[in-house]
Amino acid sequence: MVNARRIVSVAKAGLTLGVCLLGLASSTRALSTSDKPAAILVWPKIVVDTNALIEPRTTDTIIQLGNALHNAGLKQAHCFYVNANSHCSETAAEPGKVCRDASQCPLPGTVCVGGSNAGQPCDPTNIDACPNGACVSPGNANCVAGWSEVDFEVLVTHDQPLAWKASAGLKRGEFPINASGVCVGGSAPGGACDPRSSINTCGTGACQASDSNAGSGIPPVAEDPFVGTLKCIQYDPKSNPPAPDQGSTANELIGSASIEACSDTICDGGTVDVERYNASGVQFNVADNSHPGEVHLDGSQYQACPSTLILDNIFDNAPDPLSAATDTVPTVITDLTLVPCGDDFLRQDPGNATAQFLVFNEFEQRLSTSRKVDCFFERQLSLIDTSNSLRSIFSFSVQGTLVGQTRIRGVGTAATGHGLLGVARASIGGVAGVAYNLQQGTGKSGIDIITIP
Amino acid sequence: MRTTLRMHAGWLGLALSACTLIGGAALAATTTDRPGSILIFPKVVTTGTRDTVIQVTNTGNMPGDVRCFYLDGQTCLETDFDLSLTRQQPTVWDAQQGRRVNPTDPQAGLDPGLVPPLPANYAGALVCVEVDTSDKPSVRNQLKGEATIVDKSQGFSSNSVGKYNAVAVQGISSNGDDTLKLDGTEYSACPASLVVDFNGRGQDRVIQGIGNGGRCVGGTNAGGGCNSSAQCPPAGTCSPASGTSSVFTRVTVVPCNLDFSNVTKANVTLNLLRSDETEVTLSGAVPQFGCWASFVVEDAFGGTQLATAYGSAGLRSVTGGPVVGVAESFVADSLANTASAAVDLHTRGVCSLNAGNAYCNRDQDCPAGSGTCVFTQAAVIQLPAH
Repeated sequence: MVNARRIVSVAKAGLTLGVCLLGLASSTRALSTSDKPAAILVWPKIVVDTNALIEPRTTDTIIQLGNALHNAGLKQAHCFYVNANSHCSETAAEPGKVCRDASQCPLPGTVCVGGSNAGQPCDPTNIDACPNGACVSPGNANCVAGWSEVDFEVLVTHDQPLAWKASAGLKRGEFPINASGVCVGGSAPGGACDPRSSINTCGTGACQASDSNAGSGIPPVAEDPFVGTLKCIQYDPKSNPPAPDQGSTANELIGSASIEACSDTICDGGTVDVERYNASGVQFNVADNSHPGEVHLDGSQYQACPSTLILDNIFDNAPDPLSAATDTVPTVITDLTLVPCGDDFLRQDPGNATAQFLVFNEFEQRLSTSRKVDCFFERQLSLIDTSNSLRSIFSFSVQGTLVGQTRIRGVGTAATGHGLLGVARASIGGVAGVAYNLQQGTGKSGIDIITIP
Repeated sequence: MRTTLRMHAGWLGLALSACTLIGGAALAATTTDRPGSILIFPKVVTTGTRDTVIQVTNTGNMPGDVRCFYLDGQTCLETDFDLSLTRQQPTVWDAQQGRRVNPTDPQAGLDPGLVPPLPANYAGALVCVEVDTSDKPSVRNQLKGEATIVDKSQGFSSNSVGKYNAVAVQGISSNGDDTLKLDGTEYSACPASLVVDFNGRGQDRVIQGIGNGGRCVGGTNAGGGCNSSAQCPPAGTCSPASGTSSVFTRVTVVPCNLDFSNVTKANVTLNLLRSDETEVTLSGAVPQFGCWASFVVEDAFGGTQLATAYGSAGLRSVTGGPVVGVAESFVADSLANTASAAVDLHTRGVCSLNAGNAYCNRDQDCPAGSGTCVFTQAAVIQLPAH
């Protein structure tokens, strides 16, 4: 009896320790990070609209990418702009125009609605064209979702913070350090030179190779307007063929984005807005050369993505908590941007997952919904589950409390469809905005793979 | 039977102890990505036209009590209050208004407790600590928080707003006393150094690019924003000298050594090392401060302007223990329409024996003789007896 109990006792203790270690493995397994250097950086939201064609304001994004360490030497980032623009279908009046929804893709021509000429083409400048009816657009064509990537390489020197406007990029020659060599001795010590050139520009001195941005090129985003994502993977600049850095200094990249906007086209007398967030980082763990061309975000080669993202939000359409005493209370709206951790850039197969939302209000009441995330997801919270924001589970009028907690879980089966990363943007009165990083739970998603062309 | 049960308890205790030790060894520095047992909001202001909205959320499935302390950045005095959060409960309050316990007031939601209002022109920090039902510190790592700083001076349609995540200190194994050791065994330790990416003080490139690099002098658009004289018809000129766009970055830090019981100041001195886009580095410092500091990055370098548009600066404390912080960027067009954005700071290590500014991510990064790479630095938060 005693032995039996002892066995049970030991078994329970073992079970406890096992559970403990499992829990520990879960709790200490580092996930993505927004405040530490990493090997993979993801900027979930890059917005450019320098003519306010789609966005309500003239908008551009400054992307900052830095090498976190003085002694790490030259680092290379292999980056992918993911263009998530949608475009009007071929039947639209302006086929191929960038759009956010079908209302921005009217069909060509106009027809009479109502009246004796109903259904007939009409001239909107002729007030008699539609007796007792109206001459309007016959409807909308489709706004077709798109996905394409453009990749480029950036060399970041050992102390260098690098920044560029997404609308312009940085052409060769526009980088801060363009010369690949420096003169040692001679008549112009310290001067720039090219160590590969057959012409010695250092006089009696010698041209010594030094770290530089030479060889880098950052294109402007593929379209203006543009909405999409930027992903950068740290590469080993000495590797041939190019390959992800799996050395001891593989986690050296830090990044952030500033989205700046003006309410009119030349920032003249209107409003200015700036929103800033840190890029989400995924750190490298241990070298694994068994799958060249792929980086595995699995908790082994690289850290895994979190299984749960946590968003604290003021419910949509809630009164601004700082404006309660005013006559006209502006309301708060939150936009959520989510991107999958995995992407197949080789086969141009974007990551996709299902985002499951658990929404808690201040009374512990829980509601849920889910939505497909196909390569890039951006939506006002209260339009995620319905087209009527006042009836949404993210709406103040439904929840009845000012703030909520939303737990977002990525679910998928494909290698590019488990984990999610994201950023939130809250706006007050539809104008003043703030971007902020989502936090995360302790669990990890399944294996996410980024396949590199 | 009694012996067996004792053995049973012993095994469980051993197992749990092992769990705690391993956990202690494995957990690292503070985080802005995950919930924790202590939240530090480095910047809470009600100065001038600015105000701060605080959000605190219990992310766990157990109810939780919280002790919070406002820290006045000028006097280092504290004002404390208690919160009770039900499971998964988010809550919010306006720092200048506080929040009363009044189910009939206009603010919808479940009042978490009496939150005192802050006076006008307050600038400081907020620290919240998980406690059990007897107000002893406990470790559940359920708390997360955000602060939204709003400038209402330009009307509600053009508020300047910034939002950041609170710095979370994860609990490991609390002994329940009021001395919270942020040392990697009781709570995770504070970061050894911080990194801020910043815009050099000067004109803002985006606004310049959009078209408001200067102001019109003369013409029908006199005083208006412009980027070329063609925007100042018929005969005006666009003069950058008469008003330009601007951008600068302000960093706010608070020490991890906080003595709310005896109101003892940490007296922190910061060393900084910045680098511009051409790798030109410059050292700077923030003179000793008691318990809170807020400064424009260039001011820590004697006002020396950055030679390029963007820079990166490392911050490390040389006296008074580690700090945590947040950065705020301020952008204005040439007509002084202003916006702000807040962002959490990155963290990294420093070489243990280097008195200067040797930053690192691993031991190999430290030059010979400069020791090993240390990512965290211990600190103590002393709570007053409840």
